[in-house]
Formats: sequence, C-alpha cells, structure tokens
Amino acid sequence: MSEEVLLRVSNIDVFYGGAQALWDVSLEVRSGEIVALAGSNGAGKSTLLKTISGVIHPAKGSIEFAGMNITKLNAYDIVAQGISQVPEGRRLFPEMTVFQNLAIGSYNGKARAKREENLTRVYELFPVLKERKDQLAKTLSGGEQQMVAIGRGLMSNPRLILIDEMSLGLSPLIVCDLFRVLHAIRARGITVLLVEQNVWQSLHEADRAYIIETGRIVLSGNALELCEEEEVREAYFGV
Amino acid sequence: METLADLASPIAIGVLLGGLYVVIALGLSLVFGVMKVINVAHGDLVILGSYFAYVMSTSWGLDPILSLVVGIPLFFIMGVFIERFLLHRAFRMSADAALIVAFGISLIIQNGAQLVWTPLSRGLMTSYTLESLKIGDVYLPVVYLVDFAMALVVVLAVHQFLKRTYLGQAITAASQDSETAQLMGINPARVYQIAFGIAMALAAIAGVSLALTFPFTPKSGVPFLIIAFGVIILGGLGSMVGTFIGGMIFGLSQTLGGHFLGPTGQLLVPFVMVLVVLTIRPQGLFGR
Amino acid sequence: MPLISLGVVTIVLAVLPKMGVPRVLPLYLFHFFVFLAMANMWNLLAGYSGLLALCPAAFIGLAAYTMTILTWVDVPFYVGIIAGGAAAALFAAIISPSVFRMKGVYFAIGTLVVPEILRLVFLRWRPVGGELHGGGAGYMVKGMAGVTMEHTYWLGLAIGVASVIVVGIILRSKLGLGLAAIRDNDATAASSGIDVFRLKLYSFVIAAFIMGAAGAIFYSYQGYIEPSAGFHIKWLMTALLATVIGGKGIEGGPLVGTIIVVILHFQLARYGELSLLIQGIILVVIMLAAPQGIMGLARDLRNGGGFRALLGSASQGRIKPRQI
Repeated sequence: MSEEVLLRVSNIDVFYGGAQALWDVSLEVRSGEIVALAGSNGAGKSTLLKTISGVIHPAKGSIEFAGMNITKLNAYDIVAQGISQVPEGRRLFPEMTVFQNLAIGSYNGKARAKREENLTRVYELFPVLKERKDQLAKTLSGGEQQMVAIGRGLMSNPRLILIDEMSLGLSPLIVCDLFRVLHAIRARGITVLLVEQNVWQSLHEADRAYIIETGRIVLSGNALELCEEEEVREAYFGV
Repeated sequence: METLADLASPIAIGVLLGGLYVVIALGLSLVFGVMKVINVAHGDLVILGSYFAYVMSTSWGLDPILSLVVGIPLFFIMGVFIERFLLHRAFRMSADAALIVAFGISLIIQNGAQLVWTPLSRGLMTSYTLESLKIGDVYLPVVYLVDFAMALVVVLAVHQFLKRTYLGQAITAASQDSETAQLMGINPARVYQIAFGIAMALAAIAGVSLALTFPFTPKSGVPFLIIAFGVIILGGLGSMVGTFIGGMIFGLSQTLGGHFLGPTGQLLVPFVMVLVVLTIRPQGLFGR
Repeated sequence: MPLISLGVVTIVLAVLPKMGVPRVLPLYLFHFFVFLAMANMWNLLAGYSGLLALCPAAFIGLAAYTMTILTWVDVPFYVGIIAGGAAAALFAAIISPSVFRMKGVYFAIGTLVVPEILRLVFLRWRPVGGELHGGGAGYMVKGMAGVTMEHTYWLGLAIGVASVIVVGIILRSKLGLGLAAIRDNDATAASSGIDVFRLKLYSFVIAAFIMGAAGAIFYSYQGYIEPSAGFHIKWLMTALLATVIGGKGIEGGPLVGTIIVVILHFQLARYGELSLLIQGIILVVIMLAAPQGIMGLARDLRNGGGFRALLGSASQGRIKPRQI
C-alpha cells in the first residue's frame, strides 16, 4: 500500500434534483487502499459516488484523479481515465447476457485489447458466471447480478473501482463472499472506494473510512479505530 | 366462395411484401429503441431514398441497387447531421418537442420533394420489373422476390452488427439503460447519431426496394410510416423475428385487404389493424 | 382577456363588414376566426391536457361532411354546422376509450391514423347523391342561395369568440385544475383521486365539437368538400403552428400565433406547396430556437431575467431551479 494519493476530492458542493446534497465534502483515497464511505440512508453517499464518476458535476470544488483534474469531465470520458463505477442496484443491461454485459464493460479503447485477459480473471473470481455466461441478465438472482456488476466494472481495466451499495438486498453469506472478492481485487492492484449502508461490515473490511451524515463528512480515519468510536457505536451499532 | 387457391397469389405476395416493410420498420425501430422517439419523418425519408434511386437511374443510368453504393453512405451522413443539429436539441427539451420537430421535417421533405419532382407519380423500371416467376398456379413478380431477398440480407447484417460489434452493443446497451451505458464509456450523443445514421441508410435501402415495387409520389411516405409503426408495435421492440413476422402480417393485411375490398382496402385494413394493435396489445406479439 | 374588452372587440368586429372596409379584410378575419378556434382547441388538448392529438383533421372533415351531406337532404346549413360539431364530438367520444389507452408517442401515432382512415372511408362511401360523373368523391354544399359573405363571416366570428370563451371558462374551472395536474403527470393525478379518463374525455369532446363546427363553417364558405381536402394534414399543421408560434400551454398563445399563421396563409397562398414547406421550416426553427413561443418569450422577459433569461430558458411554463 503506497502513500500516493490516487483520488482527491476537495471541498465540493453538489446539488441533486434541485436541492443541495453535499456540503464542502473532501476525501482522499490512496493507491491500493480499500476505503469505505458509510452512513445511513439518504446521507449523500451515492450522490458523492456519482459525482466522482462524472454523472453529476459539483457546483463548487474540485476532483483530482492520478494528478489530473477530472471535475468537468463527462462520465463516459472518466472511464477512460481509469475509474469504474458499479452502480447502486447493479443496473445490468437486462436483455443482454452475462457475457454481453461483461464484454460491454471493456468498451473503452484501452480496455478492449485486454478483454480476453480480463474476462478470464473475472471468471476466476466468479466461477458461477462462466456457467451462466449465455443467460439473460434479468433472469439471474440478486447475488449473481451483483457479481456480474462487479465483474463488468473490472472489465474496463480500472485503477479505481467505485462500488455503490454492494450488499443491498443480499443474504449475509453472499455479502461475505463479495467482501472477500474485494480483497482479491485489491490484491491485484486495484483501489476500492466502497459505499455502504452496512456500516459495521464495511468498517471491518476497509482500511480507512469516512462517515457521512446529511451531506457532510462527520468522521474519518482508520476503519477499525472508527469502530471503537463512541459516536459511531451509538449511531450505527445501537450500543 | 373464394377458394384457398384463389387466395394463393395475394398470400404469397403479401408475405414477400412483408420483407419490404421489415426494412422500413427496422430503421424506425432502431431510433425508437435508442431514443424512445418515433421519427414521424421516417416514411418521407424512405420516399426520399426512392427519389434518390430514381434520379440515379434516370439521370445517370445506374441500376437502382447499385446506386446504393453511393446512397447508403450519403444517407448515413445525412442522418448523422439531422440528429446532431436538429433532433438532438429538440430531444433534450422533451419528447413532444422531438415529435413536433420530426413532424416539421416530414413536411419539409414532402413539400420539397413535390416542388422538385412534381406530384406526378414515379416508378423505377429495370430489366426485371415486368417479369414473374411461376410456381404452380401462382405468379410471383420478380421484384417482390428481390425485395424479400434484400430484406433478409439487411436484417441479417443489422442483427450481426448489433450483436458482434462494440458499436452495435453500445447501441443495444444505450437503448436499455442510457445512464449505465455512460458508465461503460459510451457517449450517448454519439450513439444517437450513429443509430440515426444507420436508420437513414436503411431508409435508403427501403427506398430503392419501394421504388422498384410501387409507383410513388411525394406524399407516399405517411402510409408507410403508419404501417412500419404497426409492424414494430405488433412485432415487439427489439425482436428481429417479431419484426419480420409483423412485417409479413401487415403485408398480408394489405394484399388480402386489397383482394377483398379493392384499392381502398389496401390501406384501410392495415390502418385499422394498427389502431386495433395499439389499443389491445401495445407491447406486441413478442414484446417483453 | 377581461370580459368587457372581449365584448367590445366582438361588437366592433361584428359591425366591421357593414362599415365599407375593403373586401379583403373580412376574408382575412374569417380565416382568422376559424383558425383561431382550431388553434385554441388544439392548445386545450396538447398544451393543457397533455394530449398531443394529431387528429384535428378527423373532427374537421367529419363535421364538414356531416353538414354538407345534411344539406343534400334539405337540412339548412347552419343547423348542419351544429350537427357537424355534434358528429365530431360523438366520434371523439367513441374513439376515446381506445385512444386514451395509448400513452405518449403511441397516442400521437394512433391519432395520426384516424383522419387517414376517415379519408379512405369517404373516398368510397357516398351516402347521398350517387356516383359522380368522372369519378371523385366530393360534395357541393347545397342550400347556399342567398347566403352572403357577411353571414359566413358572422358565423366565423361566433365560433372564434366561442373558442376564446370556452377556453377561458375551462381554465378557470375545476376541469382546468384537473387538466393541469394530468398534463404534469398522469399517474400522480390518478392517485390524487382525479378521474383522468373523464377529464380527458371532456377536453377531447369539447375540442372536437368546436373544431368540427369551425371546419363546417369553413366549408360552408368554401362550398365544396372532398376527402383529401377535408381530412388533409394542413388542418393539424395550421393549429399546431399557430399554437407553437404563439406559445403552447399559454392562454393567449393561439391568438397571437393565429395572426401570424393567417398572414402566412395569404401571403404564401399563391405558392402552393412552397407554403407548407415554409411552414415546416418555420415550425422546426421555432421549436429549436424559441419553443415557448412568442407569449412564452414575453412572459420570460417579464419574469425579470432580461435577455439572459431568454437565451437560457427552453422550458415550457416551468421555472427552472436556480443553482447558486
């Protein structure tokens, strides 16, 4: 794990649906880390992720990735820079097969050459997908869909992968498996920024974390230390 | 009492006619699937393709199908231009705005064509225009067979394009979930332009088919728009097989309608069918 | 428009033909009144009820044919006008269960097919009069002896003013409120307890009646009707263009738009197809450059943004949330 700051979000204000959603938000993700962004429903986590991936643009502030200012870039150009987002609710292309969903993940130029290589790696991570590769995405179970979504995110050859609400609606067993996959991804040199409502689990799996509430970052630091914090335990663990 | 044998000819021709309608419907379906907008000018653009083939044939002596070598790229570029400078702006305002702009374009093409080529009905004559193939008791005009063959080639080509190329898959993805497609690196604006360009190229091909088969006037476009719309609604969006079957059903409705009700029936029956389908089953036979 | 000024203007317009003005003026005004009625009704449908109906020609042609055919059985034409409007309204009521099931673009295409079907029907169906020598499917309007331009002028004035009053009443009534809710969102309106179907039906039927009556009045002046003219797309074009130029969804929009459309109509009349071509170009340009129409532009200017608001806003009747 290096100290190189891969992603730097600086003092952004973001508006969504006509109302302000984020106030003066800053965060950093260093290369090789797993960083968690935790908070309750509606806190602004997804908005933050969408701003980083370029779907929304901040009204104020800046976003830097690998030294380059990406604040004004459109979502489809940011992918080429090396950021991939696994959206909330998986958002697979329902009428396309597992294989087609994965393949379209390598749409952007640099990833195309590596398609076969990345595909093999995805099938290694998720063997069940290889079995179901010709099945239509909409017929898969929730857990399988999440696997496809993550796999599709990996196909674009990212340096940073943003994962939005991975565990939503899935059984604890599957969620455990998925978190194990995150570590495998990190082992391959891909940095992970994770957004989760499941605060407990994300704090236990991540290196560092930010706690966000009603559009503002309220706490940040080493994930396990945050677990011990009085405020966090009261607010999220009910102790 | 009509026997089945008497109906054999209209049935056979109706099925073959379906091929022509499939090509027209394919262009409409592509734009509708991706942009969720019905290009009401599509029928007129097909007629424009017919006039193009007519000009190539009469002024330059080119065989109409050969003229597609120029026609397809030309119409593709026109399509990209129309989308980029006219439809896209309207589309970003609202779906209604895009419909109205397309309607304006339809009128421009219809009346522009009328100014240039007069309301006189035109047609294309080639070496095979008057020939028929005799199968049993049925005479199958060669042009209809040519139309059907062209339709098969076109449908196959488009199907393979959509399935096997990155661009084709990008179009498919964008039509299912445009926001997520962006996360794949797909630029939706570019996808719309390409889709529209392809739709125009298909219109050029359909135009040639049409010109070989029927006489046409500047106002011939609207009935074809309506029937093509019926085809894609009946066949269900996104289903190639469905579109083909829809095309044949409408082709049959036209020939059988004409057989039983005279020339008025040729349009009346398909039109009424469109209304019925829209009312009863807007998601079509094969729709999801 | 306040009721008193409307009354004054109506009286002035009514006595106009007696005042020795050039004959062109009543002719222009007649067309203005008829087109205004159609535009007002189209605005009611597309601008207020969320029904982008492409079928005005169906109502107009049907009503005009009804009136004309009735004159062949010795029904006075002015009775025929009412009957025509009623026929159009009845027709609207009959097709509404079917067309209202179609949403959005399906509704647009569905309503596009309707006048085409009617045109084909009337090409073949000749309820009175027998075969025409040399083919054709038209009818002359009978019983017009002694009817002067003044009479038709007053009928036109009546329908034009009626359309303004009807729209004014509807917009200020419960119906208008319900329609505004429907225009914004069908489903939300329904869940608020609004009977979406019934309100759309009222709108549709009223519009059909007035459009039909206006069409019948027009053809009483024209004297002859045939399918391709009666059900021609130009009726839709006129109403649509007037509404869009003037301002869709704005009460005064059709009035302003119709003035321009009438001027265009007469200036371009001698050019035949060129007229529709130019109208098409104008439609595209207006939709792209100023979709809110003239009255919309005026309203945006008034709402205090000056020129900058004009250049920025392409919204139709909505105020965009401002980002600080």
